[in-house]
Amino acid sequence: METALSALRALVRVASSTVLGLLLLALVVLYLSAASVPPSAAAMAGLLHTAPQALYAHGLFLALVGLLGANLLLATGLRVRFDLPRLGAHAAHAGTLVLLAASVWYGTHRLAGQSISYRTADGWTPVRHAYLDDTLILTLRQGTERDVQVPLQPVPDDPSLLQGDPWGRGLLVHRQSSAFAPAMQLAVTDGNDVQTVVLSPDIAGRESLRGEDYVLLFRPHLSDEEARELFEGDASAFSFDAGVIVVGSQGQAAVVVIRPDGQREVHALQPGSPTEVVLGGRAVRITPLRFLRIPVFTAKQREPESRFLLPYDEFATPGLGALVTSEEGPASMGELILSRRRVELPGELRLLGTEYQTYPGSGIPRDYVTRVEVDRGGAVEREVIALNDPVRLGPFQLSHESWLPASDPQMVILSAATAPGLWAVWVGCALISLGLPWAFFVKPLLLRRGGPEPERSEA
Amino acid sequence: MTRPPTPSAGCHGCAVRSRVRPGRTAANGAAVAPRLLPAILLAILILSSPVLAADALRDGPAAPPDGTSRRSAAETGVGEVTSEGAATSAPAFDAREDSAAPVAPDLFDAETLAFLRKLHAPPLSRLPVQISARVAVLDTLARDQVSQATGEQAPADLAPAVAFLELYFNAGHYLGRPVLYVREATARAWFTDSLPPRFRPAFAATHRIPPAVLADEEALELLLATGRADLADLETVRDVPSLRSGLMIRGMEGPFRVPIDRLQLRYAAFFSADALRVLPDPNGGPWRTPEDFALRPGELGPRLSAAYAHWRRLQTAWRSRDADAVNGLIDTFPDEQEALAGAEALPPKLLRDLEVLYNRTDRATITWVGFAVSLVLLLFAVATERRGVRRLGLGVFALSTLALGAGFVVRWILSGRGWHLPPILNQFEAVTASALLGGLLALGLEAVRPRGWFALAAAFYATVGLLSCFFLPGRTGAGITAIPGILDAPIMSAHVAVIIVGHALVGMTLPISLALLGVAAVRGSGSETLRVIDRCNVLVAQLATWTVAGGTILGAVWAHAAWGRFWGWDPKETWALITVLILLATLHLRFVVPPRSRGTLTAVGCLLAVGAMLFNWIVVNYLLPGLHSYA
Repeated sequence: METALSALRALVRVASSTVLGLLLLALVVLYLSAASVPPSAAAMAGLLHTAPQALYAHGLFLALVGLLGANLLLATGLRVRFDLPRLGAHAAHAGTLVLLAASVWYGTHRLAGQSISYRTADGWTPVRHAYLDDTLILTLRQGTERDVQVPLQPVPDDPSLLQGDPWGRGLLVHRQSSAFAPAMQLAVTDGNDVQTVVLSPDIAGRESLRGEDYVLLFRPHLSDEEARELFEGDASAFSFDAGVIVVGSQGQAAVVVIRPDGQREVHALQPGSPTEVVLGGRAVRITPLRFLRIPVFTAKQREPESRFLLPYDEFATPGLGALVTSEEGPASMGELILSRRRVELPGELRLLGTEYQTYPGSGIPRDYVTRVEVDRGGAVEREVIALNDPVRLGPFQLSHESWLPASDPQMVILSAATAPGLWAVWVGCALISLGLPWAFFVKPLLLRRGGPEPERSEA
Repeated sequence: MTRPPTPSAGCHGCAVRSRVRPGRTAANGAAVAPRLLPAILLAILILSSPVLAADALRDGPAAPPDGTSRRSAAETGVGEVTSEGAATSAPAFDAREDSAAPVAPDLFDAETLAFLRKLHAPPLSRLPVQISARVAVLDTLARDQVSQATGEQAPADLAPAVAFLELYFNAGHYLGRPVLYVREATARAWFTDSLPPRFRPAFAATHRIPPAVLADEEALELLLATGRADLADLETVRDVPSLRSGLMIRGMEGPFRVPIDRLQLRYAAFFSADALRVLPDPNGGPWRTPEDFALRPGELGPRLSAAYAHWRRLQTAWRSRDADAVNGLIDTFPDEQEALAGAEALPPKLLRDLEVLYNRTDRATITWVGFAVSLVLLLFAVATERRGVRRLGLGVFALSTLALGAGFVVRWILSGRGWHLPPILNQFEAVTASALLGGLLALGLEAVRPRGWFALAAAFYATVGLLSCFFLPGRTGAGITAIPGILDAPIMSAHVAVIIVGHALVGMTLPISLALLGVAAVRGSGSETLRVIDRCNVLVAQLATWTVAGGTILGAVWAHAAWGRFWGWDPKETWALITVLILLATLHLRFVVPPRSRGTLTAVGCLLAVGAMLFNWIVVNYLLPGLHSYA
């Protein structure tokens, strides 16, 4: 018994020691340094398909912070005398602990996503839902049966995965979401003329690149029939050379050159490397730069029921795929939808109008003002959402994320987020802000005024 | 369970007992050790300038202006002609193809200089123009455009406004002159091989290329349409080949992206097609450029047309070298502007003169000279313990701080921003304001504890920061621009103000810590000097901890309102947190180490915090993506 007690004492002594605290602090600093720079650089270079922020939710980091918190709690309780001069140390330490606990609560219970309103002929669509960032679900709809929601990991940004069965669920993917236009960015050199273009069959004005005696097209994910037509069909419709860039179900990216006499040539394309083809009697170099999926929204489009939404910049989140699939099962037909989880807002927001404000005498943007009507279940109130000026709807704070297009928006995207335990975060911050100057500047004055006292090694 | 108290372990770090080595006194220790300090600190001063360091990271070594650059081009493969053809490599020119006489390296010839020196520079300099969202003076625009294009603010010692208008009105003449500065070694090597032979001697001497090699047809047509060039001008550069295609191909390669981006900016600055907003809109809209009239004649109404006709007369007089007519037309042009915009829309003459003066002081960054002088004096004072020198150093330091403060107030007034938006909201403003706030804080600390070390440290910090802004105004964003709406909040200003005070304090620990380590190395750990320096270091580190932590908390409050979350693990936030944690660890370390090691370990910890802060300023601001990035 005595041995166990002394072992416990020793353990507590070690666990509450300042040296251990400093060691843990050093490890936290090292982890933060390592987690902030290389992943950011890798993400910038397109090498990392995970958001760098995910590293701050890693178990190792959380364990380090937890141990540091425990050490701080023990050290403060056991080694810092509770008197007026040391009030600052107690406040700062307590503030740190409150901040840590509140941050964990905030991080694990926070809901964050976007709410979207579209301008239609009848006005703005009402905002009743938020689509959450951190959830990617697969919904299998079968008639009126309840949706089956399966959480998913982000899909790697690899077009070849569009074939086959990326999730091992016996499913076959047939087409991409109509909310996204597949596109390819490429550099085309024709003599001294060099241009970087984005081609997409689904975006008006971007369907083709017209040269002097040729046309260049991008046709991703052709069906078998379409591919057969491309490679073997009648070419008499063309009175000039056509270069058709294909990718996806045709395997490796390639450019198929179709001559007016029906001749075909196939040239493989390598990302980043120029491939020379003869088009219209001229040597044309084609350099694929990257594949893109461009979110497409139309003015008439209503808020999708459960469609995958990616309203933010596609480049910022490599790896998030958007697929709408269909499956013919033996007994039923269902629709498989990759989507974000939708939560209902505690009320409704109706947009009344938008105002794009510029600095006087210039076209430089100053503020984006959205006038809204907020229905919180009682009286309907008119409010304004502007930069640094959000509105609250129950636990949700709704602030501007983007307008598309910016000067005359057809779609307004609001970030919607809750802030559980935020008051405790501010309490922790206030305790730290007050505790530090007390510990640094008031304590020496108090000790000096109180006369010499035996110094303690801690705090 | 409480650990028994141990003697001589003051929490605030000031109870370190003096220990003097046998045979030496504390006084002579103080006299000997700091003699090494000036050399160490001046070396650090030069090496640690944050923006200069960032610049070096990006640019690499400059190419020598002689034939060695051709060799380096061959070694690196840049400019090499391959069997793939000219589309992916620099075109090679045979000297026999280009038989024209070499182009002179001077930007302005003697005849031009004689004309330009007859012009009245002051009315030209204070001519109102619209920049960003404010009405500024031509001097401001000219400095930025001319230095952007040529790499220097005032070629041939001319007033920037005069040099700018010469390049603007006579753009056609300068198409074949060495105008656009090439800064990067990779691009220099490429141009050395690619330029036609007649331009190579001038390029080797000035590292400037003629705009003709980058000009496209659209730009040349615009010059003709606006009367800034005539057919005779274009005839002189008719045989100059375009290097645009080769450069664009090169632009797909990593090392060439930055040089090409910069060249595009220089090219745009030379043509200034959308920059010279000198014609006010009578309806309160954005001011117009002369190019607006050239492209849409008749669309802008009779009132604006009259002002444009005045401007064209000025241009004609300028191109025909009629100095008297130019001076007369410049004197009366502001009347035309006032008639269009109304007197209240133009800044009063006093304010315009103030802006020209502010520009002449390189936006108050010239005060680095005063801070550098005070630094030397204060170093001498702490090394010799001469009170007179210390007072003199403090006097120079106070005057420099006052001058920098005046520049800060002038910038605030010129910006036209509200009371809640002081000029602290971009890199240039943050660095200069940080130097100012550090200076004011140091003066306050000197009033309480007159040791000289606080002012010395703040002088060091201000010199380094202001030097960066002085030499790299473009990179740091010296221009007064409209701020993004998201920053227009009092809490944002409070966040930045507190955090830059924190950065000033962290920066101040650098010279103090180096001094402490120097003294400790020479005198051991027990000298009285060491104790004094340690006290100063701990006080500054404590203030730094409080302010960086407080500033970060204020940033979190703002982020919650602006972005809907108080923390996002953005690299800038993370490194601010790392700086605070290092400082906290440093201050806590004093409780567990023997008294004789406290000072040196505190100094080492402070140096680590300075490293984290510099990392945040250089790597995070310029090289990493993020919400605070300038990358």
